[in-house]
Amino acid sequence: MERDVMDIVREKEFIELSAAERAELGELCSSEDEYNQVKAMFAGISAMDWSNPTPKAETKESLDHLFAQKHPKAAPIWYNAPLAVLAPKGKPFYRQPLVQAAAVGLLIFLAYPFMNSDVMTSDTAQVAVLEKESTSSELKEVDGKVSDDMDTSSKEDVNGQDDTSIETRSEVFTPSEFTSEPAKPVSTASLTPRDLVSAVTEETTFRKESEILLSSAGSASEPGSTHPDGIFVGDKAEIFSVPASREPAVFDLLTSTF
Amino acid sequence: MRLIRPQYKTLSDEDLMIAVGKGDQRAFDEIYNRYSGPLLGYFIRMLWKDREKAEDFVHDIFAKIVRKPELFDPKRKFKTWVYSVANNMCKNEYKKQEVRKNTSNGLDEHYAIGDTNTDVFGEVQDRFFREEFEQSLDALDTKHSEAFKLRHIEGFSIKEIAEVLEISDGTVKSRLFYATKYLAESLKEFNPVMNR
Repeated sequence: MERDVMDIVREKEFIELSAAERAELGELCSSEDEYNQVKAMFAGISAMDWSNPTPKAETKESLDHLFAQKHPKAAPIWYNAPLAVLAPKGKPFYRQPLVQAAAVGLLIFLAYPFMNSDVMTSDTAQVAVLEKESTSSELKEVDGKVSDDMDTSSKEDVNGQDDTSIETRSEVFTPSEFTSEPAKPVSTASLTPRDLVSAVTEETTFRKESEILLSSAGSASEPGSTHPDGIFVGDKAEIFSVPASREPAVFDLLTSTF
Repeated sequence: MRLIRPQYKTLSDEDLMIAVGKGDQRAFDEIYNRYSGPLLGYFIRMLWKDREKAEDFVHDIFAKIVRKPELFDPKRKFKTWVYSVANNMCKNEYKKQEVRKNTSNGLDEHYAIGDTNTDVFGEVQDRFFREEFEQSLDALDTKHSEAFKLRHIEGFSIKEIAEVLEISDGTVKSRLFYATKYLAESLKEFNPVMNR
């Protein structure tokens, strides 16, 4: 604040005044008595209570009403009530429930692809392992079946033949017999010509059946025909299994039958 | 929706007035809290201790702020601007009344005596001094008394007084000098402080 002669009068006694200050105050108070009179007046003014009164409440209410008329607020709308809870004006924006909920939602939205990719990767890996396992087990089953069928069919065939044909077959299919032991000479002298013809026919039939069984085992393991309830269609030479769903006609026949 | 709520108490008067112009009720409340009391005291002192009239004047000056906030130039200081408006209102009232109203017979009921001195003699001396001082101020020419009141009661600087009264600094000093000399002469026979 700028200093003036009043500040000098307030702060200093008359004897403390410099020559320049006395000259400045000369017109106001030339003597010490006049100086003390002015000083006393300022002291009295400072001693008085100049605190300001408070205006009436009605004055403020009237002004608030006038302010509301000058700056009308928007008409109340239905979402103001929930909005007052979700986004209260009194709170900073980062503490408003609506902003907090939006932030959580955004985080979830951003984090979801990462979480989902882990799940998908593990699922895919599991599916691949299961497929591999199932394929290998099916292959084993098929191999077992083939070998069983081979054994069964050969046994059945062997049981179904007479002694002569067994002897003949052993001569044809057991090479160990050729190597380990010298083949016993068939005493064809005791056989009649009819017996010889029938033996040759039996041998041919056995070879064909073996081939068919082998081919059917191969067809069972071909992709797309792993259905356990597959039915066999076609002639004996090209027999293969297919799922019933691939043969609608047969499927309908089966369903209508049962 | 405003994201960050401003701290109105830390805002300057000029910033608050800009906000009032935009319809900010809280800014208006802050301006009112800052200036309603001082303006009421100023009007009471300038309008012959008539509190009702002073209340009306406070209402009128804030109503002007509400209705036409654009009248305030943000380049100016709000304090000097609002007091210059108040001073002009008082001048208009003086013209209306033509004759000053002197209501200072007896003790002023609007002011509380801040002196807690239990010395009855000193308290009475202070009250008499106050009465005498206020009578002398009322008797003083308006242009001199308003300068003196602004300087010694409202606590304005000489530059601020010059802005409020729209006069030069030298004129303010001259008026203050004249008022001080007049009051010192009027209170020559009455010296409460020195007599204690």
